[in-house]
This record gives sequence, C-alpha cells and structure tokens, in this order.
Amino acid sequence: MASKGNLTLKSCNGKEFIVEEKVAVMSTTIKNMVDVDDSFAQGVIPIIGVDGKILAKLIEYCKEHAEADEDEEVKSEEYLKKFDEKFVDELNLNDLYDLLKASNYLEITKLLNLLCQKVASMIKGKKPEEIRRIFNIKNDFTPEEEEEINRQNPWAF
Amino acid sequence: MSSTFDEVEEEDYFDRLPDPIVLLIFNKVQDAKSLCLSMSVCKRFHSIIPEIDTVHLSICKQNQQNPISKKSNEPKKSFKNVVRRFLAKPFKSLFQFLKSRSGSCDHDDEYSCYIPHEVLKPFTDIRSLEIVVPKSGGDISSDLLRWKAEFGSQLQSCLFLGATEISKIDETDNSDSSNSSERIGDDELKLRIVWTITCLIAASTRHCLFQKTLMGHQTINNLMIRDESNQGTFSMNRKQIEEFKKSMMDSGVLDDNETLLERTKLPALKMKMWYVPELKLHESRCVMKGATLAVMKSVEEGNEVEERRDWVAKAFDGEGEEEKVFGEAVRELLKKKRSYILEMNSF
Repeated sequence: MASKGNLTLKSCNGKEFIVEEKVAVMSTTIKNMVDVDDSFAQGVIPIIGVDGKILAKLIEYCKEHAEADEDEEVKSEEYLKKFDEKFVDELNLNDLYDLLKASNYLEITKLLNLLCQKVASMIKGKKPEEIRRIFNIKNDFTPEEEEEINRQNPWAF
Repeated sequence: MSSTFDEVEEEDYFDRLPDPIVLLIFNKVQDAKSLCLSMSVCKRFHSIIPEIDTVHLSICKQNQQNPISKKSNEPKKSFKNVVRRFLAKPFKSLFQFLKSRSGSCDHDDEYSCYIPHEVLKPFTDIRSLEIVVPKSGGDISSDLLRWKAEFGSQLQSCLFLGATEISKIDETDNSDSSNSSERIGDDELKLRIVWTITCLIAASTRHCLFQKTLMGHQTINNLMIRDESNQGTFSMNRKQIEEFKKSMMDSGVLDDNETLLERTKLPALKMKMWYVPELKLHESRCVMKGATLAVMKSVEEGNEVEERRDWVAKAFDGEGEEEKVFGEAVRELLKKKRSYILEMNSF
C-alpha cells in the first residue's frame, strides 16, 4: 500500500506503480479523482485502457516535469526541452499512438501537445502517398473523388 | 527497439485516435501546403482538416525536399492579375519573385505561390492566420531595421527600431560616451524619415494586399503577416479585424471591379522618436550606432504614445540572439529623456 503522499496506479494488465502524488496529479483526470474522492488517495487507482509499458512511460514523463516544476535550478527549461526531444525521438510509432491516446484520456496536456507536435512534424512536407505509407492509411477515395480533390487543390501534384 | 514499420499487420494508426486529437495534430501542422496535401490522404482527413483554426501560409520560395509540381494553370493566371493590381514599390522583391515565377516554368517546382484567398478556401474555420511574404523592399538597405504595425480599418500604430551598425563592445574602452551630444543631425534625421516611410508603406501595402483574404474568411480573428527575414511584422487582432470589417461593410468597397489601390491610405500620424548616436548594450555586450526607436500613432486614435509603453518595450523581445539585442536596445532607448515629436499628414 502506498504511504502518505504517494498514490498507487494500476495498469489494465495489472501492473502497479507507486508514484508521488505530485507526479500523478500532472494528469488532470487523476487530480480530479483524488480531489473528489479521498479513498482513491489511499487505495489503488485503476488506469483503464493503459497497459504497464505505456503507463511506465507516462510516469517517466510526469516525474521529470513535476520535479522541474518544483526545482527549476536542477531541471532547467533547457534540460526539459532536451528531455522532451529525447523522449519523443525514442518512441516507435506504436507507442507514440498509444501514448497519445493515453495522455488524452488522462488529460496530461503538456505531453499531449508534445506528441501531437511530433506527429505534425512527421506529416509536414510529405506527399499523400508518403503519409499513407508511414501511418498505414488506406486510400478510401474512389478514383473520381480523388481526381475532383486534386482538381480543387492548388498544390496537387 | 523494434520498429513498427516492419510489422506485417496493416493497421491505420489514426484509427486509434478520436477526431479531436486528429484535429489537434493538424492544428500543429499549420503549413497550408502540407494541410492541402493531407486532405487527399483519406476521407477522414478530408473532413477533419477544414475545421482547423491555425494556418501558416508561406508565399516564399521554399526549400522543399520533395518538390511537387502542379497541373492547373488557373491560380497562376489570377495571381498575375493580383500582382498587376496591388503591388507597390515596397513589394518590389515579391513582384520580381512572382515575375520570375510566371516567366520560367522550369522552376515551378520550387515555388508555392498563389493567391492566399484561393489557397485558403478549404479552411473554413481559420481563427489564426500567419502569412510569410518574401523580404520586403529591395530599397531598404539596412538589415538593422525592424518594424511592427497594427492595423484596423487603417493604421493604428507602428513602431520601428533601426541602427546603422552593431558591433561587439570594446572591452578596453572605458570611456563613457553617454555624455556626448545626442542631438540628431540633418543627415541622420533624413535617414530616419526614410526608415519611417519605408515601414509605413510596407505595412499599408500588406494591409491592402490581404483585405480580400480577411473578407473571405470571416472567422479569422488574428492575422499576422511577416517577411522571411523578420524585418517587419504586420498584425491585426480580433478587435482590429472587427473594426476593419465594419468599415468595409459601411463603405461597400471590395468589389472586384473596383479600381483597387496599391496600398491603404495612411492617416495623419503623431510620432515620437528616441535617438542615441552610440548606444551601449551591456547585457548583450554590443554597441549600436545610430540607434533609433520611433513610435507612431494615428492622430485619431487619441491614445498617447506613453500608454502603450509596455507594448513598445516588449515589441521585439524574443528567444534568439538578435531579438535579445533588439529587445535590450528598445528598453534602453525608452529610458532616454530626450525624444523628438514629429507629425505627419495623411498620405
């Protein structure tokens, strides 16, 4: 059981993580749960739909940022920027999308923005077929529709 | 770490994300061209992308990794009309740029340059629009000039910071030059007037050039137009855009057949100017020669320059090395007691 000031988070595949409250409440969803109901602060908070691997990643991110909020000297803005860069660069596409979904559900706004920025940078400057290939997107337009779209698009190829 | 690219299973990654996140992602793409291209990826993108609220449009030569050619000649033709109708001298470089574009087809791939109004058509919900134009005015010789202008139906305020030279501080020189005469000479004053006119004309040309874009996108409540080199920044906020639209409605202008001006007429202006022949910037360890800060307000606006001191003080702040120098210079110049008041008639 978590000691005072700590919370226990449980992933959907049963992995438990004991984290400091200040780290856990980086998630607005968890903050609201704890604020409304004290029993969450004592017991185990189930994180629905998020597996242990992704939850560990989320905690890693929140820990750095919570610590930086508390002590700017040790973890400067520059340090955080580097951490963020490394954090997203090391993700494979699968984890990136799982994290996106989880950070949205848990309302970790900073992380959500960071991840969206990453995906945006992967889309920028690419042709439609390249985007389809990277993200496994099926072209669901009929040839007629596609022609119409390209006709309207001043940047069509 | 295993790469998902190798997986055999064909799963659309975007299927995992709800629409609001997909929208959030595209709002971060911003680049108008990338957005247009993404619209032809799949039906879902095609229906979500028009809802984005932030668009960034570059009307400059682009260093693309993947040059993409186009089929239709229509936009090009109508853009030429726009050029003929609108472009004034301060836009000379844009003009030349456009000329070179329409003249040689070989280089088509390198450019993406159309009427903003046309290009932005798919995006019906734009709130914030940023346009980047080629560096304005080949006639402005000074790279050490920065300006900012705010418009409503006409110019509301404009400020510039200029210098003739910036060099590193000379560590061995301990003399205090602040006692030297700070009075401005005739030649110096002439150059400042040139800077003033240059900024004002460049700004009012932008105002005129993008009126149609504003009227065609009623949702825009934040417009910013800057040039590649960041010399000048033109902006209109929500209140200013509302005022602009109201005056357009009232006067009933913006008919296609209207003889369109090449720039918006400037109102009578009041100007306050600070000048220091040699300004030492201790934080940035620089010396700025001929440092000049000028703030202009429309006489009708009524507000004294003083009331916007905060806006002025922060006007050129930023992250970069250069911004730090300019930011410090503005704050130092504002501390100087001596300033010059000038008035200008409408032109």
